[in-house]
Amino acid sequence: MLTTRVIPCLDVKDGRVVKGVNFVGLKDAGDPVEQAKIYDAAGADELTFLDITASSDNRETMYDVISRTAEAIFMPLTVGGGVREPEDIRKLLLAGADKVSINTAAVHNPDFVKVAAEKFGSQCIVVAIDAKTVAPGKWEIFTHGGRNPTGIDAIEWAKRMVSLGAGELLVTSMDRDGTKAGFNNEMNRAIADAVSVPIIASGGVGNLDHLVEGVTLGHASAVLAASIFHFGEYTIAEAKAHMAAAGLNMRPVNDKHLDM
Amino acid sequence: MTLNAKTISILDYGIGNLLSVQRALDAVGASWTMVKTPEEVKLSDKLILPGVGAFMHCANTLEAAGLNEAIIEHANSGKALLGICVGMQLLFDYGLEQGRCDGLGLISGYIDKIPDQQDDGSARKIPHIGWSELFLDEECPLFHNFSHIPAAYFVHSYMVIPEHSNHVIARCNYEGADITCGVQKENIFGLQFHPEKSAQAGLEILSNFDSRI
Repeated sequence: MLTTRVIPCLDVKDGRVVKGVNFVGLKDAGDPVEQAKIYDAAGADELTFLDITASSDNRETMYDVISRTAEAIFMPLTVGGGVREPEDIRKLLLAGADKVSINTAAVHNPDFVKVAAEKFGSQCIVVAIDAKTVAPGKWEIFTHGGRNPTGIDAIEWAKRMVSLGAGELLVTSMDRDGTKAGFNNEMNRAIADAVSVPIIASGGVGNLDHLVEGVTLGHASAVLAASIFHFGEYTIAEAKAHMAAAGLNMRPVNDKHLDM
Repeated sequence: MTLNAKTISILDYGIGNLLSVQRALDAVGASWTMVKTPEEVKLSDKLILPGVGAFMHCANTLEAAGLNEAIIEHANSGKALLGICVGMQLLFDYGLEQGRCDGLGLISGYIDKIPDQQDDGSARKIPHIGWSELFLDEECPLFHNFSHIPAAYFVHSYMVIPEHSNHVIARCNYEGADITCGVQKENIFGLQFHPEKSAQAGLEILSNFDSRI
């Protein structure tokens, strides 16, 4: 059976993890590679780095981070943030990313997704969709962290991104992000049921039931969360055990996992 | 160029990023080298045939580089060959992605799309992305002493339809579709999933390819 992926997301700024958990015994909690190893050992199914580096001068540090991470862990690694042109994708893939996530650049230039998928293959192109509820049962694409409306309908946008070659969609509810109130499952379901590719639910996880609901109610193929893992509220193992108990197919956490 | 008999050759024919395969082999202590030309293939002991993207593009690129004969000769000489992902699909007679296109014909069978409908008529998500549980032929040396979680990471929209079931060494069930994800015909092996991205389970398979085959 296909298992539901649990994907921790790490925000990386200037090569350092912004909100990393301070695990006991971790030499450098700000080192993305150390964090990645912890999540790998804990049974994470995939890892996402979101590069929130403001200055393009510091972009090069991200390639080094990715390269060192890919040497240390052997699971899929997705990198997003600041992906604007094919050259960015090429560099990220060469550094060791398995997939790249395109966000704002897709809104500004949808054909970028097509060019990227044709050049690098749909399997490595994730399109990140940031959407907000604008009316009951209606969601709109927003950019710039949810500040700027675009007038684009989220479902139509999702279908268009898939038709242009997106291999997966990372769907973030900007209403829910940071609220700990759970995913926007109504929106996620509407998008998941409208497209042929898997969707990754993101934004709003506050407890382990929310992860379950992301799949059962939101029809997501994978769930992404940041703070509940980073701040040590729950471990990956606890999350997967809870989801398995709720009847979802989960890749078991390795017996050799660290006690965390 | 001379190649150490213990060295695994990774075929670089301009398709995909081979870094993760190299790093995974490093992690299990296997020595590897990159090979590009038919001459280098002929000097190889164990050969890994990677592949990513569309079958036709991979097959055409391989043929344009004049590598088909060298790979077939390698396989017929009894030396180990491991195809990964589309590299596994290339081992078969033909593929149907973007139209019919010949493969290497080393194992009987063909490549077809994963059906996008389940038996009950509901939609099946394509591509098959993520970790699926493996059902393994434990006799196969690739899975020798397999102690880790038998699940592996997949990304594919097409699957192999082998002519002979005795070539199947691994299967998975994706939303009701029975998918052949590992094959072996004597010294020729193929894996649909990515061992280099399948955590400890994948590393163990690569280690077995290095030390037990």
